[in-house]
Amino acid sequence: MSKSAATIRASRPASGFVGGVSHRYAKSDEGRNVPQGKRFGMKQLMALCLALLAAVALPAATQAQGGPLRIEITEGTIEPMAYAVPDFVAETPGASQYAQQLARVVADDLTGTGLFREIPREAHISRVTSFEAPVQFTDWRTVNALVLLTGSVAEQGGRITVKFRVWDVFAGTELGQGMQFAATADGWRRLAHKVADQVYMRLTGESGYFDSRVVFVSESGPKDKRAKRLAIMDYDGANVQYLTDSRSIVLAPRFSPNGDRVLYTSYQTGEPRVHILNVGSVQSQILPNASGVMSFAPRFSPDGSKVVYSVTTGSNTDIYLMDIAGGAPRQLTFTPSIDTAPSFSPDGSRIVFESDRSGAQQLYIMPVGGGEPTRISFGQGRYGTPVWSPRGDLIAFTKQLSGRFHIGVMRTDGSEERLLTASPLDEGPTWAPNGRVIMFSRETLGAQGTSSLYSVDVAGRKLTRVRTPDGGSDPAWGPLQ
Amino acid sequence: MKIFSKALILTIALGLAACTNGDRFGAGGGAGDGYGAGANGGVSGGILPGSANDPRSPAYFNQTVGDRVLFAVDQSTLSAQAQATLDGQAQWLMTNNDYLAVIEGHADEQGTREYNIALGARRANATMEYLISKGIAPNRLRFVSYGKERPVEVCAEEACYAKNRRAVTVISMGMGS
Amino acid sequence: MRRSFAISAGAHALVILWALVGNVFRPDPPEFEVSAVSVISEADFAALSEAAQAPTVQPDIVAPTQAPEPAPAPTRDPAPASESAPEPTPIPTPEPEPAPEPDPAPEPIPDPAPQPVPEPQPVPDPLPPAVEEVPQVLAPETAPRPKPRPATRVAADPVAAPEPDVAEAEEAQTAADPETESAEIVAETQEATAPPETATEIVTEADEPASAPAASVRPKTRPRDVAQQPAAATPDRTAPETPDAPAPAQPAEAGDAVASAIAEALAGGSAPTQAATPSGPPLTRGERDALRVAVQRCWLVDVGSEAANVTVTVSMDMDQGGRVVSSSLRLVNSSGGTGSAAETAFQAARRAILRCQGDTGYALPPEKYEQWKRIEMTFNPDEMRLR
Repeated sequence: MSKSAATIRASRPASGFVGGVSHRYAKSDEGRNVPQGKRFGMKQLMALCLALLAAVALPAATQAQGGPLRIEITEGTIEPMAYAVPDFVAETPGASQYAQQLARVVADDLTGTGLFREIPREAHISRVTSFEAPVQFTDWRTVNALVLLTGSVAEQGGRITVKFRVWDVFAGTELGQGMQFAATADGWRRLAHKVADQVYMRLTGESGYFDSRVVFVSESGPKDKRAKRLAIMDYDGANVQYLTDSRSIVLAPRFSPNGDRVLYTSYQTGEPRVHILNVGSVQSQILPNASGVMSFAPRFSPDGSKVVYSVTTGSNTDIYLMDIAGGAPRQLTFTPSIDTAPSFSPDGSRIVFESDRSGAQQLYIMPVGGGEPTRISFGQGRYGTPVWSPRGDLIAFTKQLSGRFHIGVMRTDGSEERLLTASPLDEGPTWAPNGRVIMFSRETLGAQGTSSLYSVDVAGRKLTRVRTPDGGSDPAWGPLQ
Repeated sequence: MKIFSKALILTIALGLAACTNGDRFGAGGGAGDGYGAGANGGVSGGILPGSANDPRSPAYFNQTVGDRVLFAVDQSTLSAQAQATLDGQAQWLMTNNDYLAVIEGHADEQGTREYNIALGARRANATMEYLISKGIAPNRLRFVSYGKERPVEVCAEEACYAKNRRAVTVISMGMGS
Repeated sequence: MRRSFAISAGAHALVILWALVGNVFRPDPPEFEVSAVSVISEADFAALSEAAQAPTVQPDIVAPTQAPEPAPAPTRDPAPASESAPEPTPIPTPEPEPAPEPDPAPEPIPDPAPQPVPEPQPVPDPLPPAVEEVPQVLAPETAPRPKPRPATRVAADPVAAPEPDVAEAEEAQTAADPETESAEIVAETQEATAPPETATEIVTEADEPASAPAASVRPKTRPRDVAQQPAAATPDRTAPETPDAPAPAQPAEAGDAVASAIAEALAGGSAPTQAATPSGPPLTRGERDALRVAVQRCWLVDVGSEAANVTVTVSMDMDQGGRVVSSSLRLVNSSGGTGSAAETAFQAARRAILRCQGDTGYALPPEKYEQWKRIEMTFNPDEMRLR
């Protein structure tokens, strides 16, 4: 086995070099052998003149020393970054119960991204017994931790205080600076998420998504008598709280941009109608002025002032836009087809939606002001429930192909389609606030079938089930808090 | 306010519907469930009023006439068999003109949630328009779609999916009765 | 006169104040940023929900909120709920992180989504593809396709999974090994270890024969390189004699033909002088390649990140033993991203350089120390993003 590994490795540099893995590097090296006397364009001539001028102008001494050796690296490795999180140091007796829990939640957050890999605690050589003591970097290098997170926790009068530092083990430096969070004791999980968000930001340069909540439909009971109610939870499935009872069917809740309201579809009146719920007061009402008897698939505009949704009239389903403050809804699509599942671009200028106007479900983009939609999906199968990434670069969707369902992403022009999951029934993607992770529902088939929430990173490497007390479907990710 | 009163009426209507037909989404048999006896027509003395043998009863409608029609995958066109069932429904509604009907459209689970609501609406609407074309007053009919939310069969085979792709005519006593 | 005195005094006072209050004489454990996180308790939430639900009729169905015990109002955290508004918010808006990075603008990233490669993969999957009862009439390719085997590590060189009894080494003992003459000859010097299992692409759950044809495959970016060729080739005529000259500077911003031509010409033009220096001959291609391969093994690229759009050039001084002088590591240049993305890219480059030197330093020929006592390394993730 090791022999074959050696063979593969040995062949690599040659292919990398010749085969163009580092093209420009190779070129600059070998191009020098190109024989003289090729045609001499004006542009080249100018470049040459300039170059000669520059060469004369520069002091020859620096060149005489050879200058630095220049190397270009174009091939890296895609691999989770190894980090270590020892238990936090309990600074007061009352804090000891949190010392380990905090570290575990932080580790779960980080590892769950697929970007980081935890060095198991059994492998640790150093023990961190004091938060202020110097870090033994060599010990952490030995266990191949690239990043070390140290923390401490203190408890006083029902409030806990968490401090942490992030260390680059090989550089032997601190990344960013120490930070402290405080909260009431029952909010310790949020403290852990806040720490993890900070670590994530320092390691990736991007904002995290751990201190965020997800609104979803909690499901219980058998498939033909499924009870559904709206619920809200931490992104990792903890702290589930219910927003409605299960007397009527509720579907597809969607957070407002700042998380204070939730749009959803309820059968409370007998027909599906778009409702709006105030998360603070847990009061809901039918969205005023929504035209049509059957309205569903609502979503907020990025500024929270408008709602886009679909309305069924006769056999036709079209997309409408209305101001949440009032006013008449505006019809945006006019074909006799099923146009539904609209979602705004993050700049609020365009809407992506699904339509079967071509004969089967496909994805289209139209300007918010109306106008001819552009079809963006052309692959085989059917495409539905498009959702625009908060970063604006990608659209997540549900795809049906050959009896299977996939969650996938494509660029906004439809190119670079990439399927991230596969199962008998996946649907309803929603983006994490930083656009790096997608949550969706997965239903197992058959009489015992249940629906659960899953998350997958946008590269498709880390697929994780989100543990909820009951079944779950139709997740919608809220903002980072 | 108008919406609210409308909603109130709808709720009441639905409540009535629920009274007449408790297990609306149950797998109650369609046509040809062995109640052929009802076909001999007329309210004869031996028939219990309200039972499936009473041609004027909702039970007769559900079981003998057949309260549901089925559809092909991703389709909302009515098959010849479906049209025959709906002819029977139209007949019954003409005879018992104090009843109202709500047509519920459904889809199997092989589709996304939103699309299936729209698809169920297409099916229910096709059914309703057929009944109207047979002379039923439009104001006695309305439809609603449940998408894939209320399957009657739960297996993951086509046999079950076929039964879930349906439009069910649920009758209720009208205001005049 | 008085005015300038006042200004001077004021400025001095400010400086002293800054020195005292600010963080000038920074103690060893640096200052902390402190932030309070206000959290509403579950009981509070339940109480809120309970109150809100009160007017609604509660039929035989269990109440939607658990724990109906009325939470005493005084314990409620005043921070989020202190508003006089009748609806207290159960989602507290905590103070934001003390040092909030400006939210990175949602700038589109050209190539974040790697593509499943259609051709058969080098690592065939021994497992048969999942049997499907689905009719495959529509799918053009029903033939089972070797499925790339998922591995947590994705690199250019696929590595088969080590056998169970082989210890998995963090790195293969290869190019960094002093004995290794050039990258062409890379041998396992330790039989007992094998590099971690590595795939050449990210394998998702959906990468199966049944779904593979669905992906629209984008060609690899050869054309872009071709486009650059003329610029790079132009000045070559000026320096025909030095096939082994050190790699000329790679302009960080690719695409500027004139700039790159100048750079090429400079490097090439100086070659004759270089040959005259007594610092030993330039490194051979193999020697440079060995260094490159050694570093790239430790360079972790987060392909979906904004940092993956940033090309950074890092300079460093080397000691005679081939070890990097840590304190000399500097970011020379970066292009293609925001400040925080560039910082992240630099950190990744720094980690790669420092980690892969191991305890023994990089394998560089000591007699040519003058040639490599300063190194500028450019980390260009362009081609990684396609993976």
